[in-house]
Amino acid sequence: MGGMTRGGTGRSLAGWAALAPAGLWLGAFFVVPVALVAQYSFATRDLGIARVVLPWTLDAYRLALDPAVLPIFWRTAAYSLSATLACLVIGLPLAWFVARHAGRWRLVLLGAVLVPFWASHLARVYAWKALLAEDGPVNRVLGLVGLDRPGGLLLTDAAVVVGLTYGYLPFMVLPLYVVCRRFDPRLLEASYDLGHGRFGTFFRVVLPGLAPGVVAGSLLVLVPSVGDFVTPALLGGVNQLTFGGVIDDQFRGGNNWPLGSALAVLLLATVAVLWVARGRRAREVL
Amino acid sequence: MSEEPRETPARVQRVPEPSGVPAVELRGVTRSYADQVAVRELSLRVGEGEFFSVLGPSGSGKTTLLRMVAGFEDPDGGAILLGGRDVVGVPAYRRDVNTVFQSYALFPHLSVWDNVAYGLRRLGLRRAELRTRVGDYLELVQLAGYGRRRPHQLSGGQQQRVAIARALARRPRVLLLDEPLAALDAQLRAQLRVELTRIQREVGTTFLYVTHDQEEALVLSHRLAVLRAGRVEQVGTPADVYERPASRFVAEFIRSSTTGGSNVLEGTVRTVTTAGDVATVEVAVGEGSVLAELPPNRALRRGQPVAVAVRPEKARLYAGEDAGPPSGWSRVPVRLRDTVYTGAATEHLVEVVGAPGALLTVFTQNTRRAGEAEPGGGPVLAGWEPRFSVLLDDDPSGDASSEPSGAARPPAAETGLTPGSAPDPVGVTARSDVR
Amino acid sequence: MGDRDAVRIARLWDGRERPLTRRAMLRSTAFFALAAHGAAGCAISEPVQPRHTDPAAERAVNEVEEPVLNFFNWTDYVDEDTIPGFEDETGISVTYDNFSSNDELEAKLAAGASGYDLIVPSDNFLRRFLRSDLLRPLDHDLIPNLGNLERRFREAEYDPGNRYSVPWAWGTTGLAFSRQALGGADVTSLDAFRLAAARGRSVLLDEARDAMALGLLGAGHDPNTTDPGELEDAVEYLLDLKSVLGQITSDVIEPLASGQAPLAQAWSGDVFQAMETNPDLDFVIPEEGGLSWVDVLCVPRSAPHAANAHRFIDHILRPEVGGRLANAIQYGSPNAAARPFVDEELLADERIYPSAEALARVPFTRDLGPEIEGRYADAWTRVKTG
Repeated sequence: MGGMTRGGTGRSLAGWAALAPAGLWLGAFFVVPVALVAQYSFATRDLGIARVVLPWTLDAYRLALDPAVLPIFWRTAAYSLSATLACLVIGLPLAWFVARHAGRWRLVLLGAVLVPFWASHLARVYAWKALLAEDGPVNRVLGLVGLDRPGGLLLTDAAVVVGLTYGYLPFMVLPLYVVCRRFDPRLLEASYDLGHGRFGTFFRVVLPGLAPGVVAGSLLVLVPSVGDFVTPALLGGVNQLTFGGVIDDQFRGGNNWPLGSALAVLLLATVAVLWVARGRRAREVL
Repeated sequence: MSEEPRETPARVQRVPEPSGVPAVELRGVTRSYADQVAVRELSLRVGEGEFFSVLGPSGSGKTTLLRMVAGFEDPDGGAILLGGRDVVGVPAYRRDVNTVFQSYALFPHLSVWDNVAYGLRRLGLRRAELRTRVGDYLELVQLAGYGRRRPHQLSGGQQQRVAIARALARRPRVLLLDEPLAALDAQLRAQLRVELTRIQREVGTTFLYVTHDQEEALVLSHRLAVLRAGRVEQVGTPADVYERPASRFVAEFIRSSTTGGSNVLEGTVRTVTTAGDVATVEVAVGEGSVLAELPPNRALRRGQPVAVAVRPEKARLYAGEDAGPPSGWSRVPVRLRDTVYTGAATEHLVEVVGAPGALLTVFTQNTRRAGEAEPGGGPVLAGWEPRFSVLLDDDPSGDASSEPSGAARPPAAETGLTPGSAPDPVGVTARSDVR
Repeated sequence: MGDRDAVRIARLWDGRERPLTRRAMLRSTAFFALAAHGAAGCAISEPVQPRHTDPAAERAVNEVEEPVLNFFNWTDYVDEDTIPGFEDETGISVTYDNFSSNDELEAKLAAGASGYDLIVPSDNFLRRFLRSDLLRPLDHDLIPNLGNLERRFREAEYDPGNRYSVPWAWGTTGLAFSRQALGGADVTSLDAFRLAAARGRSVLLDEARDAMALGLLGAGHDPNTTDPGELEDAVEYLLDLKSVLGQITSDVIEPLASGQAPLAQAWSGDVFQAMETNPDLDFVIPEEGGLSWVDVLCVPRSAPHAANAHRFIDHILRPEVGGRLANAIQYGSPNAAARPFVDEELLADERIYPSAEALARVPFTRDLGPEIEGRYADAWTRVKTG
């Protein structure tokens, strides 16, 4: 009701003009690429340098929805959900501590979480390669308690999840930090006062209170880790191919651009559904 | 609340007997933060069913006291007894007390109904029982029908009612209220004050009410304690504390005027006369003389400096050509400085002749029409009966508004809640001039 | 964008000094492909039909008559004397730019008039460029030294009769292994993947034709087969092999050099490079067979100085020039006449110049046409996702 009066007649020409740069940006870097990819997904594969040619066809979607792709889908979901959960388990106490107990060290600590991410993602994944190698520090430390693994931890599911978790942790910590800062600590006292102990208070008050950040952070971790193909490719082995990796494959080597595009469109649609479903309260943060 | 008695005995009659086991008892409680002592050697007994207020300026330790009873903090020393049982070290969620927070602290993600039900979840009530209980308490605070709303959809006053219902629904032995009205505007505050009295009357629960607003404390309480720098300055009924302040601090802190000073006059003892068992002391203040009844346990020398307080509504003004106050009353020549019309009364600010800086506020009930019999600019006499003069204890640093150096504000409890709620109990005029 | 600008930007790309990374594809190459496509215009068009012109009918002439040659080659892939020698002799001044992956080359070429007269794609990209009709048939009249080529390269499967290309250097796709890591065992066949020491750590190339060739060879078929049934066998073989593999990647230098991978399908050039770090490495053509790869000189259709490009091709085919090149880059030389000028030591190395018996087992990758190539690609995708 209010929106009608404001949006319908209220916006002046100057108001629309002010939106033009944002519109251009969105158009050039989002709408056009997505439209291109969507267009490719209905084209025919070409093995020359054109990659995609006429006629239009649904072949790519037929291939993309083939049951043979399902295992990849489940694997990708398992990796990204594990990484998201791990980010949450690590990020929540971290964000809480930094936001509520770090005092004047707050910004320093927040910086310490973020600074490593100024380095290239690729470089950091390579660093994990060294850490997880057979003679790497992680395997050696595990060796002290007899948990080491011949060949190191590389090329395993665990390595991929570790890499994804590390790679996207800041995306979890930042929104969580925001909601932790915003969280009213008196609610804790109110909960204790009303007879709930630490456990009950955490699940009934803290977690719901931080829910917008949890949802936002989870989406911010989940979405890129679904699409990430570098981490599984470098840290994983033959059985760690993910959705993003399959898409990447279709584009590299001119393998099959329509199929890659169709997969990308499906992924985008899934993300869009998640986004719309993220809930009203998450919208406050994201 | 069908099981609660509906009929309401007169207020004076239901002041609970301070016999039996007190609902709350503090014995020599001390609590300090870093190098600052917030509460020192404090002892207090609150009777069962009492509406007991703890009144004090900010930094007097009243919130710390409340938080220790609630279980959010533990004292460094001393004992806190709830119903006769020492609860020091018992976590908040195992204490039979509940708190109404100044900031309400409602759970924003829960509906009003769920907020009230929150404290009942651990009580093992049956579903129907739970539903009835929540409904009853929402009704008690007149919010039946608001159950589905979220806290942010309510006004401040409504939110505070929810907070009260939420805390009371657990039927605690003691309800703790931490400046629950401070964040509300004056009209709502007055309205909720009436509500609180009604609610306490209906449920009969012991209320321990912390406030810096002396008017609130006087209106609401059966008894109240005035706190200063972490110590109890005076405990008594509102009338006790108002009429017979035990110290200059109390006299200056408890005032019922919006403009007036504390009405504390400095003087020297002129004579002490004894007639029967009543001793009367005459104190010279400027060109006037103030008569006061001397309490039996107090002795005064001639020429000794003393402070005397008189409540503004107890004094009267006599224009110069009138006869002046009856003999046997205090009689002080004053000059009129200012007149403020406040509706029900007119407040006169007068200066004692011969004692520069000594100010008195005198209320005149506006039973006559305005403008009639106003004292002019000429010489005026102020007078009152000796029994209305209160001889104050020798109290060198009796300035209520200065932050006592030994008391600290608890770190999170009182800070940043309501801008402008910090009390300034003594008017600027009075304070600077009385010294 | 003018030709000069294109060349200048190309130089910016290759400003850094890189070690020899022949064929070592960066993972970010999808960027190049997409960029190329974007630059080529967004509209999706009908497939290009290559013009089947008679090479003899097409005379190579300079569109711009000036003594200039724009040459686009791999990084560190030339003898220091090759270009100055050509310039001194012909008076043609050479602009020499470098790229480090085929995708980068393709991006340049697809962007339209790149300004280059001479490029050096690998044979798999030669096939792709030909499919898009980007290359000019060679004018054999301007290349009298063409006869110096080894017979094998004159009748090669990738470009029979050198209609579009003249080989620059070549190598093989075989198995790289670390003898020590495999417990001293000598690798002779694809069975090496089953060795306990290699289990879960070996590497297969992430390149459809190379990897499928390994599957076909393992299943006992021709690596250039067009039989769908045989392709199916290869998929079965590879799916089974996957259970003992560690990784599928084209970046084999790092895992080989670091010792992480004791066994890998690899291009000989990458292995030579990894050997510099890890001397324990060796390279072998398994008894089932392998493939040959070759980097070839070609002239883009848009070349402004096509005649000058032909002069350079003829120049490099000279025996002593070709010999010097072979000694410098240490890859196999396709130039038979240059053999006398190649170091004895190199000629004796069977990893560079395999014996006649071994050569029979390493055919070139044949261009099988769009439909079959697509089938290979899909088969490979099935192996990877399966």
